[in-house]
Amino acid sequence: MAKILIVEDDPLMSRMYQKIFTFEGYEVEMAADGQEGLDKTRIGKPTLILLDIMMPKMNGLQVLEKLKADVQTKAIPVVMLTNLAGQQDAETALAKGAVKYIVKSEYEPKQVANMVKEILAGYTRDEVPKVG
Amino acid sequence: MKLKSVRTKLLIFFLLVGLVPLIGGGVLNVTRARQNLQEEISNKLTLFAEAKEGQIFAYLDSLESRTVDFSSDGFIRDSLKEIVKKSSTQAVGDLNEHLRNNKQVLDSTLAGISVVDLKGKVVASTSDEEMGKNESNDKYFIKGQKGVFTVELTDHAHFGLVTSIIVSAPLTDKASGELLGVLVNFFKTDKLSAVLSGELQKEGGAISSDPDRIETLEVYLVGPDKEMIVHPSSSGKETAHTTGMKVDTLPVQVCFNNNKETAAIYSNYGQKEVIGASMCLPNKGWVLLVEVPTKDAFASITRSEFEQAGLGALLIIVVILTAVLFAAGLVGPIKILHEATEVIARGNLGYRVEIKTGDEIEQLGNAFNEMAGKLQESYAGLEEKVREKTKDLVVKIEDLGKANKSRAATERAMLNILEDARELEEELANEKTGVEKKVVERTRELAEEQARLVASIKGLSLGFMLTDNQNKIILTNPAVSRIFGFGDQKWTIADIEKLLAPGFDFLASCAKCKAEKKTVDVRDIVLGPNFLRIFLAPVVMTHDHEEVIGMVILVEDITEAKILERSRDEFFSIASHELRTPLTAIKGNTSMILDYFADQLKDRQMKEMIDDVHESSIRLIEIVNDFLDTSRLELGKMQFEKGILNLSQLIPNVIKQYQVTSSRKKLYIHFEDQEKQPPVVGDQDRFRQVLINLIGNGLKFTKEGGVTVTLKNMGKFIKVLVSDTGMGIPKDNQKLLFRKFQQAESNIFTRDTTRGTGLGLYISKLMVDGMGGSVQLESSVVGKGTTFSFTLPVATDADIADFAAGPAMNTNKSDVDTGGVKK
Repeated sequence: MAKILIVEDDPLMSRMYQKIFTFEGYEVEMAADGQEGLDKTRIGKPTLILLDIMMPKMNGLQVLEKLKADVQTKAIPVVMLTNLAGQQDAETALAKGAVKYIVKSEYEPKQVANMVKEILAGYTRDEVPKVG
Repeated sequence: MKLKSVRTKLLIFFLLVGLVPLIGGGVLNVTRARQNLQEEISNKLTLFAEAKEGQIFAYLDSLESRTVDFSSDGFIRDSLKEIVKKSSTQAVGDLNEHLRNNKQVLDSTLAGISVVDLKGKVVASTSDEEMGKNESNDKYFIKGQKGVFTVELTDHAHFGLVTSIIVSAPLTDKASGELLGVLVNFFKTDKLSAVLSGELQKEGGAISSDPDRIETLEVYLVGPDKEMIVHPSSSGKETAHTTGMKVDTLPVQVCFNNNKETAAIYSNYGQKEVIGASMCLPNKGWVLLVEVPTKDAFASITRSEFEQAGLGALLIIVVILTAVLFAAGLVGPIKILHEATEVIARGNLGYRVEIKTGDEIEQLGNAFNEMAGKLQESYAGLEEKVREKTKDLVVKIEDLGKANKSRAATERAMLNILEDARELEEELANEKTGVEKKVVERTRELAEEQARLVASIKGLSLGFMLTDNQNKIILTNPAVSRIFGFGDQKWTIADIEKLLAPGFDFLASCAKCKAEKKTVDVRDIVLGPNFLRIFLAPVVMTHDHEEVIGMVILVEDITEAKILERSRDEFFSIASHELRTPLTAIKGNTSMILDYFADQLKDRQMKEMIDDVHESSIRLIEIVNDFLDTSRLELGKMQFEKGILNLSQLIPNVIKQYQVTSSRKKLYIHFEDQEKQPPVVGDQDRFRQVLINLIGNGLKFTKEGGVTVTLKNMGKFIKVLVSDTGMGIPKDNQKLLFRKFQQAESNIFTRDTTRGTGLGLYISKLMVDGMGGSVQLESSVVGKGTTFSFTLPVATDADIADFAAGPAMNTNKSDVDTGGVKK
């Protein structure tokens, strides 16, 4: 089964999403900050990354940039999972190469899992869209 | 008269050309010839003279040898001895006989022979007259003693000879050789003369002299006394000379002075010009002269010269004639032409010339005729024109006459006007004083007004600047100094610009304000730690055309307000974010419990509790979202992204999200899409939010039936209608519908708190307003149902073109799932 890397600093949120993806049968890895996320991506090579934006030291957009700049990691689909609900933020993230931008508070965890499933299904067929 | 000069010119020319070379050549020629002839003659004469000299010497030699021969005669010697020693008269007689008969006859030219003793006395002679003469002083006696000696004798006569040639030789004793005396032969000059004249040689059978010899050639000898010795004269001719005459001429002088021969032209003994050559015979002291009168010598040349001159004269005549003829030929036509010009100048334009010389002059004649012809034509034409013009002029003069009359009338009128003008001036002067008074009053009033205004402005806390068109400050208040921190210093617009640059281009905004004649309101200008708001308004004067004469600039320190705003923004964004996270955790976890641990929630009450917690979290999230939206909408911080929306496509999407809820409540949601509607302009997310709000409300207040969505084309707008079959809204509450926090109950406590915050419609209204539409309650009947509607503007062609590349009916918007429910 696919491996999901969840990069999230808030333990409330990280625990919640860890549960849902575990319940859905994915292998789940956790990273509590940006740098850990980058390291674990390089080492673990997850199938998909869920990335929070508001994090200390390195925010999600910076992490996204770094992931897409690194040839080893740029092919991995990244889904922004955040509570920032700005249209501008969404566009910025998508422009930087994220494949989806999900506002946590609007969705049940199950919905989030379904969306991820769709994405993974889609990208096994198609190429990961390039950074615009 | 030009004509003469042409002829003269030609004459001169021809003469020069013809004669000068000829004459020059001729003269040269003649001169050369003459020179050559002179040379030739000189040479010939010299040669001749030389020859003659030789001949003379030869002759003299012969004489001398004769004499020597005589002197060696033994009889003569013996006789002399006898005579000298014994003074024998017999001997004398014998000797004389001997001399006469034996000796003298040997030579016909021998005039006489004398024997002289040592004393110089003639002791024997062929002539008795000579006997006893004293010869002691004579050179021939003196010299003859030593050896044979030849000399001419011209000064005294012997033997009846005026001129003779004497040759003497010593007589010596046969035996002893002792000198006894001198034998003297007296020769006539006949033979010498004949030598000179050439006859001797002729007689002697010598080759005749030069056949070219001119007859007037004179050959003669001159002695040491410059006296003519021998001069043969042609027989029968008159002679201008005599023997013994003085010949002191050039060659004689040259011979005696320089011992040089001469060949030159000079005057001879008879003052005749001769060409002659001389031979100096220094031994004898003789000069041989060979002369020809130049007249004779150069006769041929002279003749030739005459011929040449004659020819030349002839030529001159010919040339002159030719020149004259030629000139006539040239001048003739020129004269004709000249006359013709005069005729034409006099006015006879019909005159024509006829020149048939077959050359350029004829061409000139023809051209002249052409010109005359043209002249005639144009003259005729001119005359016509002049006639016409004259007619015009006459007419004009008449008109002028008429105009003059009217002018006089005008003058009179003008005088009247001047009078009136003077009266007017007086009136005006009076008026002016009146006006001046009023102006003074008004000025004072204005000054008062101004004072009041200025005071007001100075009292403002806002910075106030009034500028002119060149950005120069006309009026300002202390607040500006305070805001910009100028203190007491003087400042200008430029100072402000410097302070605000580079973040804000102050001058550019000023320019824009003036150019577009519109107000410019700029907030968020940073000045150090402060924020400023600058408001520019143009001062437009509509005198006869709109003109911007300056600006009013207001400056406000909005730092505090800004800070407040920022803190509020921060508060909201942080608050919303912070609130959302735990709420999300609650919702998510409870949701997962319900989904994955349902079997462990066998207890109904526990399940219900988890349900309630889940539902609470959802409500809380809604509340937070509502508050956030409200504050953002109220503060104008919500951004509406304008796109082209195809409602027929969007509305079913929204409805889909509600299917679960509605089916749970056993309610339907229908979308009736009858006609194809044009697209509208609006923000897709906000549209969905509004629609969700209305559909949600519909479902919320309906127990049976459902919600129907329809579209209606209102021309410039499309109206979306959401009708429910719910409880309806009482009339009293309808006015409060779109208010904040109001539900459709007037009493603040009488509220259905389960039904949300009551911000939904308020938020929808603000959103729809923000998209350029309007939301309203269409109708509501208590117990029957309610219909709400909202409009959105139809997309114009311009809008479609603008958003052609835009996100509009974009599919990538689905990547941004900010939720179907309110943000």
